Amino acid sequence: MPHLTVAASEAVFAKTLELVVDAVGFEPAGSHDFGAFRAGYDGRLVLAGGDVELRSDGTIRLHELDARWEKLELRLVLELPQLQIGGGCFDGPLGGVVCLPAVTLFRGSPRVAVTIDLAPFVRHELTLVGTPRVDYFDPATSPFTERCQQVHTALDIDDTKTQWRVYCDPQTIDFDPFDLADTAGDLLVDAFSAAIEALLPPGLGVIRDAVFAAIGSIGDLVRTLLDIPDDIAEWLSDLFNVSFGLFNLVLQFVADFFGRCVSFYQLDDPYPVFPATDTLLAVSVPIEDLQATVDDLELVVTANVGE
Amino acid sequence: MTFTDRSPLYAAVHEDGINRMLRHLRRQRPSLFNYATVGFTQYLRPLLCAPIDATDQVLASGQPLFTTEQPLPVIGAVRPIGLEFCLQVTDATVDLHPGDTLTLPPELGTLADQQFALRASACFGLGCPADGTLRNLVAEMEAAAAADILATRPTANPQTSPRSTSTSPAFAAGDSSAPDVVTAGEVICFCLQVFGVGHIQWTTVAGDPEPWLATRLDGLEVVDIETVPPSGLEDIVECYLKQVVELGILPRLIQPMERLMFDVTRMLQDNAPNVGQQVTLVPAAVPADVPHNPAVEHDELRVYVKIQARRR
Repeated sequence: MPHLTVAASEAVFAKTLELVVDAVGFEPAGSHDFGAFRAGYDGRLVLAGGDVELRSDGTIRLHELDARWEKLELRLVLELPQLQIGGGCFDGPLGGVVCLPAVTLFRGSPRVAVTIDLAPFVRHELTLVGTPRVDYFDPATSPFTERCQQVHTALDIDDTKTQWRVYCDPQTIDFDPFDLADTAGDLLVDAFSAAIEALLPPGLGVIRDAVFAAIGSIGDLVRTLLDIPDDIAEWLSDLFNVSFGLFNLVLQFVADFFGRCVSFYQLDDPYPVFPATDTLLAVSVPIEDLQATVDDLELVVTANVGE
Repeated sequence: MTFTDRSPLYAAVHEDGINRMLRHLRRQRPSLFNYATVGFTQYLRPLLCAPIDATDQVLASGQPLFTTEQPLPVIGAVRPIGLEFCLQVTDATVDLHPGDTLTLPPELGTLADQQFALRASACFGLGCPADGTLRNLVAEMEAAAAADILATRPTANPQTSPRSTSTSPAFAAGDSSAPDVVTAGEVICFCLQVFGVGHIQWTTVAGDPEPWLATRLDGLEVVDIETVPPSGLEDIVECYLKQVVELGILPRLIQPMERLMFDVTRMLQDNAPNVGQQVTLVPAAVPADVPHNPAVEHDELRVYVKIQARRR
């Protein structure tokens, strides 16, 4: 018979996890040089809602958590190649040589940069199945990532004491990859259009249409410059999923968050039974053999008091 | 049946765990189990009835190993003097219902439903003055008594005061406002085995909205004193020890309910304010939710707790 037994119903456990999830965010940022252009992102992902289910096979299922980007800024910087439009001479029908006026665009290959916030266009759902995992935390020896440290600061978790910690260790994580709607592609084209048009020399006047006839639509130009095969929205999705590797980063974050970073239960070891007074030291008892199990109704933690 | 089918939170401590906690408590806070006059911090230290078992940390910290008590007054002394003494609880074991570890003395009967049994060894030591000291004291008391008589005469010297002999080697150094303490030549000890039965209940304390768990003593029996024919001596000792336990030791052992939950709601309570809520713990109602709360049964102390969340 264990010396100590603590049990929490599924409702208590679910509420605890809900609050823990609500309290933190993930703020990834990165950039990548693609040669023809450079892209970077800066985001903040938050988790909310979802259902928690304790299951008879000893697992915990966090179902349909809403993973929402509060911010997902994409910054693209590309160098516009100098374009020569018009010019050239041909023999005139009445004899002589006729030379057309020439327009040089993007002289000096200026850089154009756009930043768009894709947060409204991205929504993920997260489902996770984990098992309780007990770790012994020792501030002197336990590895601790900077990211965990930030989360602990947000949650006001005391990392100065040795503790038993119980995590929901993910066994499977089901996370929707980035799947951006066409409207996100439109936003990108609009942003580039505005930026490029600003670079066109003033007073193009009647030859403006000729310029655009020559270079095609701004969308075409963007596709060409960014080497986008066809669908801009799909290209954007791949950019985040594959090129930036943000999909994997989020998966890693979720795995670390639940599995290594934020324990849903922690017990000081030694456990303080009587606080210190002005003249007396605190009385505390060593905690040993801590175990955590779940069934479909409750979480049960057992432990022994050491010698 | 699950642990939480009657309340969302449940905690239990087995009697083996309680007994280990008691042992840690005795070694880490020896002043809760040892009471003595100030002489036992000095020259009488080796003469304690039982050596005080304390952790290295406690010994190194210099914290008091026993609670300092006033000397035992010598009744009728011409001026206030007292004897050194010590009272030590050297062992304590708890047996929760159904009581399969301790054998209670017949006077306490069978352990009733929801009760716990307690066995402790208590030693009392009295610092008895040596014959020479006593002779000196007699002379001093006679002098003091004589001084009192002389003081009633008109020609009495007002400088003659019973306190004038307070530096006598018959008295141990001490607080000048306290009674003089007679220097002990030896410490005479006797040890008794004490049994008790009691129950555990919720109580409230000023300044904390959440209830605390308190221990109540229902009966106490000393098994080593027998007089033929039976006399009040055993009753007197039992009465006194009962006061020591109920007024001295048990009030210091009350525990807030939160600590009994072993922090299972810490994460919940710490983070509820982030979403504008305050979470408090309340005991499950008896008998609406559970038949007994706290419950002392199956060798465990069990508590059933509900959660109340309200918007701040």
